[in-house]
Amino acid sequence: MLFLVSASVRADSGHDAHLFAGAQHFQAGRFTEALVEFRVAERIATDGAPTWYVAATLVKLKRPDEALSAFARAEATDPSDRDGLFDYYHALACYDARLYHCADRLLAIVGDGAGPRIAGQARKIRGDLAALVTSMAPPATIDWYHARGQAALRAGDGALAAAYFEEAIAWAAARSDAYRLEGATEARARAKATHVEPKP
Amino acid sequence: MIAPATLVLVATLATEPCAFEKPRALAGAVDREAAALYRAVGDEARARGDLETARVAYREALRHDPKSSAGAALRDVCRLPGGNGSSRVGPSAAPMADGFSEGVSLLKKGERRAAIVAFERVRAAGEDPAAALLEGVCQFDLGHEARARELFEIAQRDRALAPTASFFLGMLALQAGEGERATMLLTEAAAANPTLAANASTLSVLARRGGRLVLSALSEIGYDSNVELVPDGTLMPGVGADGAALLAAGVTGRLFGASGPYMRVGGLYRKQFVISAFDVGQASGALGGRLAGRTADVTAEYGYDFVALGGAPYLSAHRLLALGHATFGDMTVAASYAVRLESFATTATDPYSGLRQDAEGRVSRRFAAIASVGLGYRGERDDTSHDPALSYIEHGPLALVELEPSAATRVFLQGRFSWRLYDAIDPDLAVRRQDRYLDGYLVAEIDLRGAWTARLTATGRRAFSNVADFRYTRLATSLGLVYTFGVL
Repeated sequence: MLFLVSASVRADSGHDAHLFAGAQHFQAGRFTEALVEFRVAERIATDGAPTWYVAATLVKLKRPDEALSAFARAEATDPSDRDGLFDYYHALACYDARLYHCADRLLAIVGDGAGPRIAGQARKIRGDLAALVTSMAPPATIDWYHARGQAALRAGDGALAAAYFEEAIAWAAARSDAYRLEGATEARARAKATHVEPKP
Repeated sequence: MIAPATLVLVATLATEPCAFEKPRALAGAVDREAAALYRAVGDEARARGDLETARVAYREALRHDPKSSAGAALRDVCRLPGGNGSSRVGPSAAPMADGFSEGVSLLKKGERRAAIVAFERVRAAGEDPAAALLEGVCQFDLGHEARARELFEIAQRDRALAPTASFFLGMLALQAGEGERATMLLTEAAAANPTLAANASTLSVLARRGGRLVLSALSEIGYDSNVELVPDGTLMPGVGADGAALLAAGVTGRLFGASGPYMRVGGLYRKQFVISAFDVGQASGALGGRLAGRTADVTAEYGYDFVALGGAPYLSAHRLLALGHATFGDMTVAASYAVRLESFATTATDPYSGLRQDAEGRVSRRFAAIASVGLGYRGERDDTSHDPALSYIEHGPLALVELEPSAATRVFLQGRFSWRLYDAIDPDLAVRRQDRYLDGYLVAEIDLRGAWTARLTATGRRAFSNVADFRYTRLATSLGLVYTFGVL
């Protein structure tokens, strides 16, 4: 993370200085301090680059729902900064939120550009997930994703809601009875349509 | 020394639950713009219920602008459940945090027993090191040392609280006369938390100088305008000013700590620069017992002194001493009584042999942490065995001021006025002597590195008498170096 930021910013002024400070905290394992610095950078940046770092830090803080919202926001505002490392962190956020198909999908595209260690890590997690994502989820599991999606919708977080409904769709599609597939598809469309950009 | 330090620390803890956390240094020049950004991030996090992030953001704001309004926001966050940075998760988090806040609030009001109940309630829902620490502070203040020690040991297991807990455990060890352990704990506290360093260092010095077996030594040089040693303090005609060098050493043993029996032995030798007939050698010993509580103590002691003057035996004296102190908030009441059975060994001074008694009472009050002012009254009775014309009764008021301008500096000033009336008409003078004395006494000490202290003393006396020969002025001063070291 520090290398990534160091390579891309000048740590002397403006949001770059906060990005750099945040990266230093991140590397030292002081994730709350890192989050504060990245949030400050986010407030003064003219692009969405700091949001990617906010999202990655939220993953480290084990706050996957917030991380997923931040990743969605970053993708919407600054897609050009997306890279293999952020995909890896995004995948971890999905994994922590039990969005296993989401995690698998992202891990599949984490290439060597994220570094050999991360790439190796991604392959390992994906291997662990393989048995899970090819299994059949019981209705109760799918109900749980619906419930999470509805809760996110009520909280006004359309992006997060869409992610949960997306997962419900993936699980339902693997079932012969397509349990609540139609409902999940409609809910995902609604979530995307009513997408309210959550505040940073 | 200990009580004010406790008060300062307790006040800090009580008003700032986030004080448990190691503070960060200022970021450099004041940057209000950056502070405002951090403040905004803190507000945002707080609004989302993310108090940990809010706390860090507010701290950063203060680091960039110490006058930032983030200070008030930080205090608010710290008072909120979970805002003090301790881990309070799970179903019982809210009630625990409420109890904690209540305990802190009671501690702030000085209601320590009620605060203990609140902290106990918090801990009943699951051990909470922060609550244990503050409950320990309450128990410490109430004089329940054993219970306080248990609680500080619990708090010490939490890495964030360990320095503060070590500080208090060090104070307890210091009180118990465990100098070595106190030094270790206080050094540990100072190293881990800079905000404790000043108090811990001061107490470490005390700890090094306390203990079950304490060695002390003094070397000084001095000047006396009237080198006189007439037993009742009267000027000896024909003796002038002289300088002197003094060496003294002693050992004090308190095998059971500050409270319990003790013994003391010591000796001194004073060499006059010119008038060698007044060279003094002295050996002393004492056995006593001290009963020390949190707010009061009493001491009883038997002692023996042997003094040689000019290389010849001069005085042999047995003495008894009783004294006590009691503290009520900022007020201290002290009383003492001493009696000495004196046997002078020279022909000239033998008539002064007899029983001398001295009693004194004083009340002093501490103002802030640096000054103490007191008033008292003393009486003295010298009952010579052979000559009522040399026996007297003396009494009068005294005033004293103690200053501690810094942790390492102490100044003690005392002034007193005395009336002395002799028992009988002096046949040689054909008059019954009536004297009055105005005395002043100053001691200033500065702690140097380790076990060393520099000491300046000055005394002055103006004697008035109905006999012209006994009117005089005396000034004496000395500059010395004291070494005090607790070996056990």
